[in-house]
Amino acid sequence: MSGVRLHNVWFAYEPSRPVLAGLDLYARGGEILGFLGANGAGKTTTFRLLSGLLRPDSGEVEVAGVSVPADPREARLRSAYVPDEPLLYPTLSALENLNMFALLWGVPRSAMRERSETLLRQVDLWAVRHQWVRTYSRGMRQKLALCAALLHEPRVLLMDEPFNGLDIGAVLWARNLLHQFADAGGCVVFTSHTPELVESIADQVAILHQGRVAYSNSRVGTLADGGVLSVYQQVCEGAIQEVDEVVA
Amino acid sequence: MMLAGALAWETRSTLRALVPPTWLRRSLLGLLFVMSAAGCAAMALIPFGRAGAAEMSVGLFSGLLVANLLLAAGVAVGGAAALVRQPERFRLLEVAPVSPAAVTALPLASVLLVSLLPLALLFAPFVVAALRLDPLTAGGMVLAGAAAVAWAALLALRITLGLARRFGREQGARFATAFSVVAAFGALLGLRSLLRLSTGPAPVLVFLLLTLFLLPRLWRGAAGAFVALLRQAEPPRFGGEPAWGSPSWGRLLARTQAPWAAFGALPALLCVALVEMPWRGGAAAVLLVSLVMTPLRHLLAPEFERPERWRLAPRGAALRWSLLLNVGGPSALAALAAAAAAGWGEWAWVGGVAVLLALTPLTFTLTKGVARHTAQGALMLVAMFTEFLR
Repeated sequence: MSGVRLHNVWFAYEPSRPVLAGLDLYARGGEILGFLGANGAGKTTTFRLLSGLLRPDSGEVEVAGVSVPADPREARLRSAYVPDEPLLYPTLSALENLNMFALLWGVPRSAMRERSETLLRQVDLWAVRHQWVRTYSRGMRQKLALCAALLHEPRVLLMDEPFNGLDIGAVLWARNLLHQFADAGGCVVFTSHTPELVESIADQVAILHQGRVAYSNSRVGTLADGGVLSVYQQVCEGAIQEVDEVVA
Repeated sequence: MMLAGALAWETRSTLRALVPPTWLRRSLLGLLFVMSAAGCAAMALIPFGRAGAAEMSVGLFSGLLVANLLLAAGVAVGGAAALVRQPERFRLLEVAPVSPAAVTALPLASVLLVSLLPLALLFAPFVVAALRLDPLTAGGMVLAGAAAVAWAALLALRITLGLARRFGREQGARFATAFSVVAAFGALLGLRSLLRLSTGPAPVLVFLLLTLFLLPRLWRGAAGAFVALLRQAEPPRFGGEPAWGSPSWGRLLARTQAPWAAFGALPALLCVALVEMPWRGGAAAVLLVSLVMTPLRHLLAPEFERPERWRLAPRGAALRWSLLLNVGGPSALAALAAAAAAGWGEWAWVGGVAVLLALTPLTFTLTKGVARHTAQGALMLVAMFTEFLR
């Protein structure tokens, strides 16, 4: 299984204020899941649970068929997490960065150079492969972070705001890359604050609200419901009304 | 009013760029500075006070001026280098609704103010003592001291400019920072001797006249060139083909401030090696431990800033140990060789230092900042007390 599964997950940084309250989220291999939510809704926390950086208070978290709390090392080998702020070394070049990431993820030495070259050529960074990352634009850094994530050939891609700072060409490239990845059987979970991007890229849409998935549907189903923006508005307005009723 | 507020803000930013980010390190640095300032002041003031008004001549100025100049230049170069390395603040001012003259003056004035803070602390005891003995001379002392600071700031700008033009902005700023440590340390070490310089009133008068007529013009030129430098985009820098399958520790290290920090520690090394002084063994041990810490601290700084990189990576822990062994090991061995050479025959001391050097890289396995800094502080303290093993 190449998907992700979160079942009845509870997590709190402070015991009195749970960030995730019984979260259920599923994505199969070959699927792209667009994950939406307001700032502070718990999207990044979900990614940190999936990548093993946090342990759930209760519930099940699986990535590519591996329980993350039970075997985080294996889960990390099968997945790649790209945080919103790339984890690159600013004073190393693109090639030097990929060498370090290949080492960190245990890529065979014989494959390091070839995979790096292929990925950098795909993202049009080959010409600047020797340039320090510090002088890269945000979009270039984001592309390189994606290359670093794909280097160990993961089955699951977890991407927090991957389209931030990308120009239109790079977004099109990223869309193709995600579709290729999914077509090959991989699973992609990504967040975005741009409804149009989610509609054009995701096969499945999930909206996180108050620690739970408040809405989940296929792209076709979401479009039939009026589109991501309309659905998001309905979900949030409903919640606001509920809060108003409780306060009253 | 707005300009005063902007200046206060800029000064705060400059100060923040110079001081370490955590409260523990700030407190330690502050304590170290106050202690060294108090020590220097006491060292120079005790004989100065005993000598009485008879020795309170204008000739003392020259020594004070040189010390002041060196120290202020050290601090000001540090400030200017920080500005060159991170010119975002300057760019922010450029789009702010202030006059073009203020855009150039504010960051530079903040550097100057920051230079004055430690100077005021260091020289306050001298001024107080001098006021008791001879108020007129004391007034002159303050005037000449302020002029020296202005010259030092000019010197700092010119040095930073020259280095940034020669080596590029980022590398030049690193070099400048290392120079600033050497200059400030040199000033503190030589303070007592410098105060005994007696050149007579003529050079001091010439100095004050030059300040009055030449300094403003030179300042304008330097400020213009400095601003032009800040406006330039940082040219891209390049690395070579990596050694595939090997971590790039050497390259990473060469691109940090570690080599420059080692250069900055040169005066302290020379001082411990050449000057006979109390607690020499302890000071040498502290220096050796800190020399082993320096490359590791700089190499691991990005990992402590973004700990998730190594936490996420399946081989993160292995790479950490590889770093500690491949960089910490040779550094500790080199430091041990230096300790053995310096303390030949004093085997108990060499043994104590060897244990400390072996423990030093291990402190970097502590991922919590407070625990790591406490352990390293404790190591330094124990290193000081190796004096009793001699």
